[in-house]
Amino acid sequence: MIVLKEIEKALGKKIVLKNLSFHIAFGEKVGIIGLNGAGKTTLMNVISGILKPDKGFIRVNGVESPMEHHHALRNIAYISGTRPQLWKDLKIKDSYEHCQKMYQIDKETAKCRLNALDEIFEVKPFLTAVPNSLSLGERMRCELVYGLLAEPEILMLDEALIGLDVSIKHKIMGYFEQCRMEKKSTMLFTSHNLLEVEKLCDRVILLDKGEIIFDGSIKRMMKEFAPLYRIEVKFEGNLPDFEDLPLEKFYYEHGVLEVVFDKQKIETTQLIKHIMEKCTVKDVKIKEPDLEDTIKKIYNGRKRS
Amino acid sequence: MSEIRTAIQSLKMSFRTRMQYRVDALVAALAVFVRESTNIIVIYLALMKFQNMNGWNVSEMLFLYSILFLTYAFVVSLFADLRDFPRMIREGRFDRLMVRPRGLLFQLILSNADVIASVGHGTLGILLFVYSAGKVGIEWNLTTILYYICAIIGGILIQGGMFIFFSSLSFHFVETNSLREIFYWNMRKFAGYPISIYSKLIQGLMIYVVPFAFVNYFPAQYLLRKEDMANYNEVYMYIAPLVGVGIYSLAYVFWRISIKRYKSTGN
Repeated sequence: MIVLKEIEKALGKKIVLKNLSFHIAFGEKVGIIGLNGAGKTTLMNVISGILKPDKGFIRVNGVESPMEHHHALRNIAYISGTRPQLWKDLKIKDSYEHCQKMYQIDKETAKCRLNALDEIFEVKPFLTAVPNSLSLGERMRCELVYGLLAEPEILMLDEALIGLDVSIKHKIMGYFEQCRMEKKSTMLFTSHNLLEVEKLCDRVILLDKGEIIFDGSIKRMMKEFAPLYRIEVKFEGNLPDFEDLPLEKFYYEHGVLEVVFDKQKIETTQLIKHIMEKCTVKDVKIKEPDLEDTIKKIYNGRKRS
Repeated sequence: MSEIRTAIQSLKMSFRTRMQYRVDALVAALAVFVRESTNIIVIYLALMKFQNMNGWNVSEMLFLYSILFLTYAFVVSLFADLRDFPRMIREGRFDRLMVRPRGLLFQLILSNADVIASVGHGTLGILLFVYSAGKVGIEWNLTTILYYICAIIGGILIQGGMFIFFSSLSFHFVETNSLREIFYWNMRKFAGYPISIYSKLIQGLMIYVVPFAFVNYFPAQYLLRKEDMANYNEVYMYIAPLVGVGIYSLAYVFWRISIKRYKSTGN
């Protein structure tokens, strides 16, 4: 469980985090998104205890500063794509052995966990390799296993899925979901890849210049900031008239009708039913607003105001 | 128990890292040995001509130097990451230690141990000790042996404490290498000679500010009782091993205070 209240943090003269408050419960999967320099990594660093906030109140699993409470740190894995934990000159298995001692994991237990993790991350072939001889994705898989060996309750991933193949990413996402279901693990992600965030997280915290501009489910964000849906209809016959429907816009070009509507005013099904009554429909495509566009829109909106 | 196991693991890891290129490691150890030996040769040649320096003959001077080498052989393995701390911060390698469930100093100590330099300094220290210890008229009995061991430990703690102190400064200032250069490395060079040959200012610095005098000069005086000890308070000889504990504790407190100011490097 993570609680932040009115957190403020300046690095040098620049205020990086402004008045942040939120609450993350056990088993939540939260994505922290924002443009470069929005304060994502600083926020992660504050939560993990690497940085001390200048003002405000923070509790991670009930502990104020995890860095000073080793039992608390044992339950947090902070895996970063840019700050490797693995020894760069040593074999992967040496790093794992170090992790086992550092986190006081029983030798047999560590072996079992490694076997289990290998099913998902497929790191066994790399155990005798040195990180520098591996590709980015392979190294990242080894990093993830290093962090997961201690079976943390809180998992923090800072750009930690970079360089991974789609198939393995899919497996990893499944694994995270399983962790959440079985162990109630709490997960925090930062990523530039919004598709990834959309797949992984139930909740997003959108940061802009150190402030939270949105905190809630992706669904709610879409509804609030991007209520406009589009449908494309190919049809035969005459153009139906929409005069009695609360539509935003419609275009007709090359036999394709494009309708833009606000989901809060009219349901998709209702609209389609209306069209099908009036003409013979050959094909329908429904376009949901995508996350990336929505976020772009939110940021643009803020720049103007 | 688990602390010891982790420490041994750290040492193993450092050893493996350093031994990745065996030939290179051997050459490096030899290079350290040769580099440090030149200092000894200079002393040796100078004393061929002058017979003694403020009453210290060649064997006594070498005995004085041997303590410096022996303590440093431990320091360079125990505190290697603190010796190179500003670089560690710059490269962002410090963050990863902060998220691990162990004390930071505990993780820094022994991690990245410079075993190669240890071998170089240690070999030289042992050679000098073997050469000089029998010739300087020390009666080796239980008291002197115990004192000697305590003094070596004290000397390690003093230098380790200084590294911790200078490393803590990195949390307050961006660039601390020149301070380290002036106050650690230069003072260490001075410590190769009896401090009584220096001006009052340097003597003061070496006793009260950068207390290298307690690493080798006062311990050597306890065992050798040279005349120039008359310039200083006799108590200094007896408290020399304790100074290490004091300096180390002070440095530790300063470290704890300073760490709160840590600003990670940006991504």
